[in-house]
Amino acid sequence: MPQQAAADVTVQADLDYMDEVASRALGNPPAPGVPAPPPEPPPGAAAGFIGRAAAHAHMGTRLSDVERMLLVKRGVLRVAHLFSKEQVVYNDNVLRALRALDRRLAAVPGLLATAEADLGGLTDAVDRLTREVGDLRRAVDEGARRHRALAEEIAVLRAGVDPPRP
Amino acid sequence: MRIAIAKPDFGVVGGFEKVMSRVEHELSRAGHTVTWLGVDMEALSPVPYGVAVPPSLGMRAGGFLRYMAALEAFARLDAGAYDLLVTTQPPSFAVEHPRHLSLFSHHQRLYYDLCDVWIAAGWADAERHRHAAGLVRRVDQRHLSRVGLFLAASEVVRERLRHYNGFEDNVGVYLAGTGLDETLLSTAAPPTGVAGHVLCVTRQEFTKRAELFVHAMAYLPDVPAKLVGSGGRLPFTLDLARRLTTPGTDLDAVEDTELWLNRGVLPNGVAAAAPATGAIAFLGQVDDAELARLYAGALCVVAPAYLEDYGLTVIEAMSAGRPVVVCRDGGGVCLPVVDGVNGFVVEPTGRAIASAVSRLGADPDLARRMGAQARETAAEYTWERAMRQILDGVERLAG
Repeated sequence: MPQQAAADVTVQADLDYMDEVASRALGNPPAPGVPAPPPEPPPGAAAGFIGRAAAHAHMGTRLSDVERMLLVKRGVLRVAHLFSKEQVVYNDNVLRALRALDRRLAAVPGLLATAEADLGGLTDAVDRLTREVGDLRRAVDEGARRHRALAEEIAVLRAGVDPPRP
Repeated sequence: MRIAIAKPDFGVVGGFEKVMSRVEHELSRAGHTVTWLGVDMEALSPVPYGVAVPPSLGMRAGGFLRYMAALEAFARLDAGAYDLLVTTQPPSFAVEHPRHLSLFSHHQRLYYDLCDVWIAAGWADAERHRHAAGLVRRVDQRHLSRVGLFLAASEVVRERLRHYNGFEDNVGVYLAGTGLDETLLSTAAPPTGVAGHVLCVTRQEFTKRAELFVHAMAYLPDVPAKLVGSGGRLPFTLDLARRLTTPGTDLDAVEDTELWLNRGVLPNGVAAAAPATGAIAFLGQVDDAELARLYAGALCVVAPAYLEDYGLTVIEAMSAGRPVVVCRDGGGVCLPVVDGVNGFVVEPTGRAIASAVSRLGADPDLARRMGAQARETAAEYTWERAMRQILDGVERLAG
């Protein structure tokens, strides 16, 4: 159900924006409550977020030698380690997965550009092919026409030749 | 008079562009000075009416945002320096002028009569698209109610203006002549050595249903067939032709609606392959002289499109003296066709189209009679008459 609720909110937010565009198109002033669009993170922003998360992935289990109350903190951490050791492994793996995804995402614009170029090339090739097939068909038609004309000419010539005597 | 023609610039030349250049030519001949007011549809604002929408909304409601941006761009055009304004495709009617003639080709149809099939094909999610349709209709109504006179592109379009907008009194109809030169159509010699091919002339886009033609001709592998036109669905149609002509394919098991009511995208990893030799010849785009020759050599012309505004190719085929085969849900393409007289009006299935084509192929006298009737019908669709209707509209507004 929470997922359903989240989906509904997205649809409603979209409809609100659409309503505002239409309202202004109808000559109404801008509505006061229209939310500014949520800021879109700039390209490469994910790497920054991942870096910040990585700094805390160890869950405070690393202590420097100059920490105040170092011995007390070490004691607390030793107890907490019973619960946090699994979480640290989990965090590390999530971070690795996010880094892998980020690398894949970074390649998407390049892939899209290549796909667009390929599609353009494919469309051109199909157009060229259909034109060539058209030309070929016309050439075949013309060949057939010449063949018929030649056959008629031969028939006329044959008719003009005296039949062989027995 | 100084007349401005407002038109969206899509960067392509289709049937309507041909119609409008004819209109420009005729208005100039009548002594008017004509100026084009265009909006580049590739350079619309990403912030329609100043609303900074999240960029991701473009993925979910891009058509709506683009339409609103176009509407805003037209609404901002100043036509005050002209004596009369002629508007064309949507949303050029948003330009304001006290003497405003709309040569109304159609609404933005995905928000009107094509709303449901647009969703069914998977182009948009139902909730957002229906909401967008409601908004577009309200905004359109505001601008359309300021138009002085409509000349609808056909009776079908006139009926839509009545149904969606409640306009009747200020709506007339103009029926365009052919997009091709009439002389070219009446004098073109058929291609040599190829007799009686079945022809389909269409852009390969959603609702044009070239897929039904492909399905139909798969039933008739020995009948030469030619498909003229290009477009985004061409790879899908090519692949369909290959699949349907593969030996062992059960053509009766193919569900026709599923062939065209989709986004026309090949499954991942599937490359479009040319159909086998002997199947339909995909000719792509051809020049006018070649098109006229193809009409002249056709046994008949199939126009399988869904809910068209008007049937320019049907009129062209009829002008060339060819019988036509259209589908009963074809909208404007059906208007000039009298079933069994100058063509056939059939169910929107490959089998029904193939059956009509077979009847004509088996009975050359019937094809000739229907072709002659078709030529008579087409004689009513002249540019002379269309321009008289348009110039009457101009004079009526000029008062």
